[in-house]
Amino acid sequence: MTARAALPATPAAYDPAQEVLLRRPGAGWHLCRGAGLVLRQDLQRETRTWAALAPMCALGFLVTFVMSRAMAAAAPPSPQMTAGVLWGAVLLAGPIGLERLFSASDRGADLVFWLAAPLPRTALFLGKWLFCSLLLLGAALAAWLAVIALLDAPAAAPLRLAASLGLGCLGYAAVGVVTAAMTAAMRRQQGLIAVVTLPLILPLYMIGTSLGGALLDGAAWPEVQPWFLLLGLFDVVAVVGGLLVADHLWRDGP
Amino acid sequence: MKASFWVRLHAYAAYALLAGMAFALWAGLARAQPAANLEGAERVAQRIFYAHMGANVMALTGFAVSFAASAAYLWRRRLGWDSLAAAGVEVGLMGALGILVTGSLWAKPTWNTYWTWDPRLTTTTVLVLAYVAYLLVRNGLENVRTRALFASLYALLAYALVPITYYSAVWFRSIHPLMFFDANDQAQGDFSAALGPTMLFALQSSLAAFALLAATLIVLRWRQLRLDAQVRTLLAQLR
Repeated sequence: MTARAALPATPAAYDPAQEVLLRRPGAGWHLCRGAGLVLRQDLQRETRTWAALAPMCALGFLVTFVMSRAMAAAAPPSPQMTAGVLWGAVLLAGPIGLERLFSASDRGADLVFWLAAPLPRTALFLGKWLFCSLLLLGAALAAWLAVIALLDAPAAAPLRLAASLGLGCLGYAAVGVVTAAMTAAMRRQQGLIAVVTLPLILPLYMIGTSLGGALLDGAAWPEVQPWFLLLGLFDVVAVVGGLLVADHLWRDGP
Repeated sequence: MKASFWVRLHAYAAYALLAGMAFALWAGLARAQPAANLEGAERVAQRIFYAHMGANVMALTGFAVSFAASAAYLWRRRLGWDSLAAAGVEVGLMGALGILVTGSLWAKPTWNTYWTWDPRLTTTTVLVLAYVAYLLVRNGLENVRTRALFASLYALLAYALVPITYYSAVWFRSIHPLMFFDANDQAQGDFSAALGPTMLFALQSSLAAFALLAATLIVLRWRQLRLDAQVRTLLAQLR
């Protein structure tokens, strides 16, 4: 059976037996293709309206602006403080994107369709995770530019700083997709997603701030390597955990 | 209407457990001696240690019960496990708030401030926020099965913060002392070296008393939540 044949054109009722597809030869391709379809649809919708990325970037810039204004009277901020502002901006911009992932206006046309399609739930999780990671990376880039412009941050180790932000966004997105799917089923979801997600993300913030501070301070690789390992560990735990619970998340439907 | 024998027995057992907890706590504190290596207000305030460690045990017991019960719910899908998880979180949250309050009161004479951005304090606050979010998740969902499912998943995620909170004093630069499993060279107000047999007895009594309190409260709350669910089911059938 080819991957194209495994995905019928018309939506069908969800059949758990379809999960058996994952154990067949070519199941990995089926999973990746499913995740790619989800990602492509989300990207198409986002590039039509920029409904998530634009406010995320704006909020990332605004947070940096407010924080840099608050620190303007003091001495030049330390690398640790600069990294704290950068990660704080990404952290606070995230919930806007997460709310859009399964928002009520898209639910009818998007999520219900995917739930009815013979698509593994893990593919749905992977697609949403990749899309959310891209949104967060965009917001992180905007916040980084704002930090460079407003806080006069040193351009030390830009590749490593970009790698740390990238790793952080992957872990944030994995946890965020799980909590966004949960809050989509709530009767009063507005604002709750931040309250539910941020406490789980704060360890990432602590690691990212320490790592970013060390990188902006010009620390050598052996000094920052443990922080990168911790970030990677967080990502692995978050993504594997998300894949494990994906089937439970949408079993009853939001 | 007269309560049945088992209901009355249960209430008496709960009272007996609470009295036992109070006695154990009194016995421990009555025998507690101030640490020999401390002086002044720090020497007096050190007795908060017994309540602080007790609150730790209470929080750990509650969160561990919630973790195990949530995993059991995901495995067996019985709502009783979900009620037990909720009871564990509520009791654990009380213990965690107790940790923060007693810790702040102890920090003033020891560190000269009620609050500092120490990694242990920060991660404990994050832990409290995560479990408050757990209660918000429960409160926001109407469907009983969906609520149980999502709350169980969230409890499993939130429990990952427990080891992070403990090891934060090891991984990051912290002034918080460590009593068990490890040591912190940069700790301020540490008296673990002066922990003699008398203080150890007081500590053990306090830990036992708070563990007893946590177990009693969890069982009582669990029964209450189960009764609440039964009443709601009966009401739904009557309508």
